[in-house]
Amino acid sequence: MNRVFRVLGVALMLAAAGCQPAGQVVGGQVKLAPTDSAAFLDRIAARTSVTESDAVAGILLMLDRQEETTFAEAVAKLAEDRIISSSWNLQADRAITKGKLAYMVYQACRLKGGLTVSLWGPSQRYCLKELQYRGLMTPGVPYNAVTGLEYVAVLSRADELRQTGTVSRVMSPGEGVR
Amino acid sequence: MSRIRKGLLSGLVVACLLSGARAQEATTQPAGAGAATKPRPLVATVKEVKGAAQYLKAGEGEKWRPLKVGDKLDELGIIRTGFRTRVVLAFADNSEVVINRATKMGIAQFRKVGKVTRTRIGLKYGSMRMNISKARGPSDFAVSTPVATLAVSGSGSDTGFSDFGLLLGVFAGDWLTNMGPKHLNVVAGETTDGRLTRAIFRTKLRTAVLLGDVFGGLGPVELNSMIFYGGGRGSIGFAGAGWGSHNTLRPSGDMLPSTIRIPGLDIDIGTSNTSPN
Repeated sequence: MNRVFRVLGVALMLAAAGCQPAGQVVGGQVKLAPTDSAAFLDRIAARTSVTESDAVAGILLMLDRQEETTFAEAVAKLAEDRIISSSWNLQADRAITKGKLAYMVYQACRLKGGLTVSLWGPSQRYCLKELQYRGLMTPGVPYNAVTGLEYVAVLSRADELRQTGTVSRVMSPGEGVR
Repeated sequence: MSRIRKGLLSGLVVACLLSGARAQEATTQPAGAGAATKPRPLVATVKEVKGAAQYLKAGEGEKWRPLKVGDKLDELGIIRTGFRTRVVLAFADNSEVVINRATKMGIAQFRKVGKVTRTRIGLKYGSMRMNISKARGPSDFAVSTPVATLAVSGSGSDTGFSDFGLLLGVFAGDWLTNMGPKHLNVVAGETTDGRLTRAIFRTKLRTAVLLGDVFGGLGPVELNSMIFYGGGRGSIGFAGAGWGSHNTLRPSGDMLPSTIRIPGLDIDIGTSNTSPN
């Protein structure tokens, strides 16, 4: 009987994993040309919103893995490293949301979250909550669009966190992060 | 009667002569004084560069050039940095500014006016650490961000402007922060933000108000209410765009008698006198 439950449990887990639909990438042929990170951040900071292709390019820049590539190839690369969820639908010219940015930063910085994230794995909602708790992102909900200045600031904190393990007190209201 | 008339006439002549002399004095004095206090532009030298940093010289359009150790930076120059970057600028008055990663800043003024070294820096986004030296005479140092102007009367601070708005952390001396009619003196060991919140309230904010300010929309009165009484309407949150954040940038030109705008930096940088120390 016990064995039956075990087999059923494994089957259910496999089914759940298999049911997760693979995401679609629209505008995958958009080219992400290599650029200087100072110029990239200056260009993005002046924008009212950040496109998903720019957001992906910025993450690659932060990880120092930038090369001549397309949006689809960059997404595939990041999905392979679990920085992007393979179930996401992405569109090159659509504005990135706080939830997606939080997920990418959470994964890129290899953060360890609270109970919910530990049990169920990272999700946009709980990665955002985790980053807000740590003072890495401003208040808001996962479907909010990200402004250029916000994107630059979040990536700056993530870069500092990756390099030094902390974030300076003038870039985060939490008096130095963790 | 004629004596009175003569007296009046001679009085008028004396008055005219005196006013003429004063006018002469008035026209000659500023020229002399102007010559004595004629501003002398100074340069800042790049002491250290690590990572991707670029410099835009005034009047060169959009021609950004890579920043190198030993480069001399004039007034109206702009610096931008990328990831994993650190730039150290040495100013002629022995002051030092460390520009951190993902930052854009400009030097609006760096000159000697009489005995005073006047420095005006604009911070568009990112963060800097400033060590102000008075070893070579009095210094009049101020930093403008899109929301506030900081004038140093002490010697060292970290300043950042990001999506959280302005954050200032002082590690030495006093810094006077101006935002419109509002002023706050921040001493060593203290921090403040774009609302010029006192350090003690910032500590309370981190503990009491986090749950109520989900959307970052609390005004000063609502914040005080949350700090002192807690709960109430705060428990369901306040809608709004925040105050003192990048959503409500206020041109600092409104609050400063004279401002300068560096092409490409797009923030107003106050050039009026603070009290030099």
